[in-house]
Amino acid sequence: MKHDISFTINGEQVHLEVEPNKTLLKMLREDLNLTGAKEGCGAGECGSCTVIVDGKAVNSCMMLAVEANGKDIITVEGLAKNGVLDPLQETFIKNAALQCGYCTPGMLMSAKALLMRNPNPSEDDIKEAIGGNLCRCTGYKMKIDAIKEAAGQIN
Amino acid sequence: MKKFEYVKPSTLEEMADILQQYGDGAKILNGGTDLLVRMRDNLIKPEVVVDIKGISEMKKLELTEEGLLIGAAVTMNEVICSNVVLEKYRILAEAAHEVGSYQLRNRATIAGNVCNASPSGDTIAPLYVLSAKVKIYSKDGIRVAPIEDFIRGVRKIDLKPAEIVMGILLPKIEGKNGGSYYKHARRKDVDLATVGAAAFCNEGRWKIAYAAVAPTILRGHKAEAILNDLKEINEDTLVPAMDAAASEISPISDVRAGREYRLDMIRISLKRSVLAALLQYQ
Repeated sequence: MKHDISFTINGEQVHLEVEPNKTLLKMLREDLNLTGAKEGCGAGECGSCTVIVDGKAVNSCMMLAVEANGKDIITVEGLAKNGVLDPLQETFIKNAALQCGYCTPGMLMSAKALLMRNPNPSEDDIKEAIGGNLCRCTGYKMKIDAIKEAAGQIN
Repeated sequence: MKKFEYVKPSTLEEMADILQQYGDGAKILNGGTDLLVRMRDNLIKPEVVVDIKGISEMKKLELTEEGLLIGAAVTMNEVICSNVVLEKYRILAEAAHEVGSYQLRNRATIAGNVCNASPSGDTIAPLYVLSAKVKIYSKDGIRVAPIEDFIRGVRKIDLKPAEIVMGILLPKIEGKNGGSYYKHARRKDVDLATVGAAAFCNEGRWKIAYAAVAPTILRGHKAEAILNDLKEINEDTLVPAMDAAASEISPISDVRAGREYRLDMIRISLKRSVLAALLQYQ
């Protein structure tokens, strides 16, 4: 039986009908065409599906779509505003913090959620925030540098 | 995932009725970080998924004269950030911080960790040494079960049909105390414990619990007896307790480690958790 749900996505109000056995990740990708979030493992272990729900970074493969009802969701597609990149997106590019790009939407959202709750994170805070985001290409150092630089810019 | 119905009751009574109606065909959805993995792999195929997060009292994190109630839907991150947990039950915050990743901790719950009853559940070992109890609702009334009685085996808990875990109760601690949980794992994040040791000292009396070395969390009675008799605790005087730890566990070899490695690592984990507990002792 489909459920009617309403929620905000990247600032826009959305109404959808979803089956309970669909994850938030699948709904974002298939019903809303927001393909930034990726299914790396589908089991909450790699973080490539990370989005922000009510200000908190979550693995969207570990939430049911019906649970989005009444929530405020931000995905990577919502980071740039009017064509202007988010400071995190700028510093990721500048610091070569991505190669294949597969981990990157999830990584950006973990970083964004961090800076939303802690504008001046330590290196340990950064490592804690992205500890659940796996990257096979970069070795993580450039990502940590990029996040530090973005935090510095915002302050 | 196979198709199922989803319901989100707003009272415990409503929820109990649904569980009664569907029996084994109903599964409770809390954080979902264990349930969804098993449903995705079709290990569980419920007819109905009952979301507990619509019941407001499940979010309670409340200190009373009896102690601390951690409602079933309070997330790991909420426990970690709670001033009262950090001040009075710090070992639990430490252990919750070892679970999964930041994202998972925004959804996962202590109650869920307990009900999953994994042999390596990181928050469960501290609950044993804190003498935690599980608060359970049914339409017949509320009962409270000591954690070591509630967990019966691998993924086996003493929860009857149409019973709902309302939360975890941590009794009030009197006097000087300190505790620490040491998790030995292959990775810093997103890994199960290879072995774990929880150590808690209250007015000179020690409680020890081991993770990932038996079908359930195990109290370390032999190690406790030795620790309770020690006049001074340091790396040297701890050796007999470390040996006792290795002698009282029954680890298996699995994908994470061999049996012999676990026997070695429990000695070190016991030492590290005891020394860290002493640093917290006040």
